[in-house]
Amino acid sequence: MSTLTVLGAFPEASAQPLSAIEMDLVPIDLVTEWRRCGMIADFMADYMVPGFEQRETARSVLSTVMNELVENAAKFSADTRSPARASIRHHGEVVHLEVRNEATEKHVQSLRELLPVLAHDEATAVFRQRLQDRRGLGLALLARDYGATVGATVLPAGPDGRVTVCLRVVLSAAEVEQR
Amino acid sequence: MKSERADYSVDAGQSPGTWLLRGVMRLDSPEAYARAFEPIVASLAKLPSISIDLSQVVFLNSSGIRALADVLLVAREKRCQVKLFGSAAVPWQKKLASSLTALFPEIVMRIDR
Repeated sequence: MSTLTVLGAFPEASAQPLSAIEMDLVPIDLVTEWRRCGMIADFMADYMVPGFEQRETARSVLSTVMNELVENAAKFSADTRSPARASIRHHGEVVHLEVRNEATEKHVQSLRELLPVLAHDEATAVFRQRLQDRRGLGLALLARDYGATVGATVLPAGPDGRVTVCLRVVLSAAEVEQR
Repeated sequence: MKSERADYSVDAGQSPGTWLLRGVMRLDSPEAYARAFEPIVASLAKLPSISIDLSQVVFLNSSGIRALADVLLVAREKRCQVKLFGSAAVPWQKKLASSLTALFPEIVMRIDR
């Protein structure tokens, strides 16, 4: 029997989104043409910005965060031909940005170490340590600089041996607009 | 010295040790950034101070921030003073100022409106 595991903070939205966009991505497309990561992030951000007053700022912040998630899916998908799903949901006071993909076991292990620490308001210390250790900064940077809540769910491997990870970044709407 | 691709450019300014970065920097790996920043790193050993103008960089991904931090680590090692210039109109640049000056108190980062 498969059991969903939650890593870090993974708050659920209290209501249906006011606005949302969801896209399927094929990681091999991103690996072969890296600029597609940015294209997807920019497109999704552009789609969402009419829901914000500070549109230019919201576009920049949403694209920055979504680009990190899409790049993650490109780098850490176990099977680059297996589709990943990216979404942005505007719930009013908060915005959820998410990528769901079949991740490598190594990446899942990295998330198991990182996300619980980030959930305990230690983003600055994590950022500093990862900088010194020359490890990836992306998620720690989002938590530190954007006050993001970063968490994931992990659906363990089925008979096919693949692990599905849903990585979620939650931002306040105020942060998206830098109010 | 110039390193240029479609989305971004790294140009030497008119004065020695001044660098102007422009465009969208979302490169795919630390190696790609190492190539892009190689002329900047080389200048650290030759000059007592350099400046890097980031104000026209629309996006810089986390690999780029990692690479920029690596430049600052080399600068610290070479005892080269680094000044960074950014724009308050670009959200990531305001965030970067806070992150980097906390970790590298020896740098100067000026954010203009």
